[in-house]
Amino acid sequence: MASIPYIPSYTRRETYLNAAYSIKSWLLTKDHKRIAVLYILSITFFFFIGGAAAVMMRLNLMTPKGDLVLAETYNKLFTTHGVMMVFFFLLPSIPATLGNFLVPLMIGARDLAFPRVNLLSWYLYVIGGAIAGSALIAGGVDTGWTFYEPYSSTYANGWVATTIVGIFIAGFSSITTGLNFIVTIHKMRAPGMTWFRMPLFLWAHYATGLIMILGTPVVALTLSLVMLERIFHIGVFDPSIGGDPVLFQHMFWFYSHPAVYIMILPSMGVVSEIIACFTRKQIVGYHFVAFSSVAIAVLGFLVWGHHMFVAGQSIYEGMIFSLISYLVAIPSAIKVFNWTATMYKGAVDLRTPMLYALGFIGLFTLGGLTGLFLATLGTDMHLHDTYFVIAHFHYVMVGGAVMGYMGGIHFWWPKITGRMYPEWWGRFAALVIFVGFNLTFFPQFFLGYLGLPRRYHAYPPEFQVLNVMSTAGASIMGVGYILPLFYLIWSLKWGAIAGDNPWNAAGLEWTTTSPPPPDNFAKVPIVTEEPYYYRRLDAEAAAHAAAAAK
Amino acid sequence: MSDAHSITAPPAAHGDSAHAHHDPDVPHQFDDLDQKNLTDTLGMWTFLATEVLFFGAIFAALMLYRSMYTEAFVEASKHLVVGIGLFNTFVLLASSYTVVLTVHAAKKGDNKQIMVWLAATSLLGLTFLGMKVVEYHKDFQENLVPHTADFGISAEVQKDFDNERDLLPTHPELWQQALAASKWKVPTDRAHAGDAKLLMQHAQLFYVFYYTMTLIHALHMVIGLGIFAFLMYRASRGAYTARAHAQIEICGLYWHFVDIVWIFLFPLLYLIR
Amino acid sequence: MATYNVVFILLMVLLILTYYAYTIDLGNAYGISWNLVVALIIAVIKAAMVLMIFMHVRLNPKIVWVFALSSFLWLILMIAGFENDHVARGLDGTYAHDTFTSEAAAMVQAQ
Repeated sequence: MASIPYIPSYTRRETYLNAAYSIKSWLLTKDHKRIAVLYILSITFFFFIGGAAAVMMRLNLMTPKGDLVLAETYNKLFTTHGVMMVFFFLLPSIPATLGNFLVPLMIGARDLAFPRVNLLSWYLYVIGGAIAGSALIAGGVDTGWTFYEPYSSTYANGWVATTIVGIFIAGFSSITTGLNFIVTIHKMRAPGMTWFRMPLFLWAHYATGLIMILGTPVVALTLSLVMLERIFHIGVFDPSIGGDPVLFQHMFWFYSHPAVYIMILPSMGVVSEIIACFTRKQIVGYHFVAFSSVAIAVLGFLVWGHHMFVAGQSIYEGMIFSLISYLVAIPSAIKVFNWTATMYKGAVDLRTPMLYALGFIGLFTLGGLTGLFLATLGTDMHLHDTYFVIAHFHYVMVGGAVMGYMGGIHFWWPKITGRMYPEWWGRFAALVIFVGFNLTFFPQFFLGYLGLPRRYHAYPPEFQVLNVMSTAGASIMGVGYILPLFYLIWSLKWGAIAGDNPWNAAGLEWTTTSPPPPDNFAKVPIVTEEPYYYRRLDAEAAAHAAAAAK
Repeated sequence: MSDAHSITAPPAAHGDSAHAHHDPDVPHQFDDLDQKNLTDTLGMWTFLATEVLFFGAIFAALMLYRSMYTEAFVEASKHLVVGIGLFNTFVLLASSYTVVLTVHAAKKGDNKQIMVWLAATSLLGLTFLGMKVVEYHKDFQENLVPHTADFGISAEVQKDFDNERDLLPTHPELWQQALAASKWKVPTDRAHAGDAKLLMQHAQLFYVFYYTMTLIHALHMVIGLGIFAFLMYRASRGAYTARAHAQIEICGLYWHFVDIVWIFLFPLLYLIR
Repeated sequence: MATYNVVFILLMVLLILTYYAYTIDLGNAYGISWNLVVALIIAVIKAAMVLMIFMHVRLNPKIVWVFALSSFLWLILMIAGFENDHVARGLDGTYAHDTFTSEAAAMVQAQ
């Protein structure tokens, strides 16, 4: 019997996006790539809730009287902003989105070690976010995202317990993500991929996973104790029975300081990848950068007391924490030096991801340096709980972590969606964000130095000029963040179709199709060379071009 | 898996190594059974690491307060029933032993044996929880409930002092005597009423820890019993074989961990000196 | 199998030992509660036996050892950090040395 010849269909390959179309195939997926997309959608949602709270805050702060909202409402706004941004945006941002998508691809695996646990992680995140979000919006919590005792347990009015339940559940989302990463990186690397052939993105996520595993349970327990104290009115931090509110701060910051390293380390990993690609070079000092990631994770656990210099902890402990806080700046600086050295004599290409990476290096350095002011016991006496602190952490978190997130989203957008974003819009938005960000937060350094305390809804009139500058910057920055929302969604339908490797970048994820098939690779890749093999790629590209020219 | 009507099948979208040997015991992300087993073990250990830090945080707080208020904590600890604690420790250690026997049976692929030993473990776990209920009942009779006005004054002693309600602040000596009658080592003279008050406040703190820690531990046990019920159900369906029984092993690890928590909980709560 | 039986018996013995160590007052030489030290040492031995033999860590590759033990290390770090604050606050006079002095009591009385 004559068989019908197979005619390959070149216009429709099976990718993870078109493998199945039903809602069930998305909500019950075990594919890490789909889970990453689900995360991108939900994280963006919570980002804009936190951003809305910030907009209200900055509008209120345009006038010294601060009478746009009531004082108590203002407290609820900054709590919403903090809780949403810290627990539901920054902590999951890169690990849950880019990490989930890329970790298996970069190590040459078919999926993470525990795909169903990965899906559980997303559900925990959404449920936790729904609970905390509705509590924050329904009645509001005014304790600040730090939930300091005894205010949060005994005196605060509001939905503290419910919000804590939401955060607790989201904490388990973080734990399961970290668990997956650590085990995957240990056991599921492709043949030939030794530890030191891994891209630095993976080192960053491994270190992040360590922090997630070792730190998150502590805050889960601490917040549970606050919740129990609220519900049953008996508590371990209650001074009336001898409890110590400073112990709450110890336990809270034992996690929450390493938490900020959860936020920044993945971003640093992204920056390493982007810098290597857009300077067409090996990362200088690869081993240093890899070890620095782990060093930041470890040292980050030893500095929590620098949030408590004026809280009543002993001065001797303060000195130790101050010293180690200085030490933890060193690995970060090592990374910045190495990225800069990589750019030296590299073929720098200022595409959108590179703009974000460069922004990261500059702004993170500024933020990190101002952190040293705060790590010094003497100056911290003056600067603690002022706008200086706010400016510092927004420089590292927004100027650092979020810029890394945006850069990574743009860099891997073609891999995730198969489409290119519009380059000029990308660059424009990056610039708008950069200008808006600096206008928002640079004046706040001055405000803090001049003594304006944080979390105040009103202020003396002499601070108005700086506050108005800050608010103006915030509105510009807001526009900058909304732009990508539009052009990235636009690109899904009308963006140029990206090939498998539009950047001609190094890395296993670029060797498969864009978007990748459900099992990631047609054949199990075998790794034989160091990462960032740009010299080979460029040589091949040149040879290819020379051959084509003949 | 090739299309029936093709002469040249399209390139397989799947990794060649995994589907060269489609092993039903190995999920698609793994290459072979050994990788799967070791990965599962590492995954459970990573989860147990988080549990160490979770319980550890409240242990740390307990240790801190113990060093701050040693006298009060020693005094408060004396009112816990050490006998029940000892019995419960024995029960949990025995349940760890039965879990070991369960895993041993799993290695042989003997589903019936698995069910027997899991049932034994569950029974021991339920005994533990039952004794905890008895213990809490005793504690409530002694009025060892924090943040109550009559904290520490046992029910019987309260009957004797029933005429003199409102013991504090008008009759602190009566309150101190009631406490002494309830076997608290407090000064009984009015001059030292402040000391007695402080001592009892810190004792209440101890009992907050006692209830919180034992309840969190009990919650973990209940979850463990639920997991064992599920495993028994699967074993009844003959799900476990000599080569594919990782589920039993890693759930066993969880139960051992709950036991280890209790090994530390018992001396640190019941045996304070 | 025989190992498991031996370990179980040893655990029982250690449990009895724990109780007897509690009944003896070991004092407070050098400001350390020796009862606590002994209780913790016995507990660690029990936990180590459960870990190594019942949980098969002894038979597992070294990577499992690292995973199993590193979390305890982190825990010790945390406890050390908290205790350090307590001890150091005592050093710079933040705590009254004896919370049961009559001045403290008088303050309480006056409430």
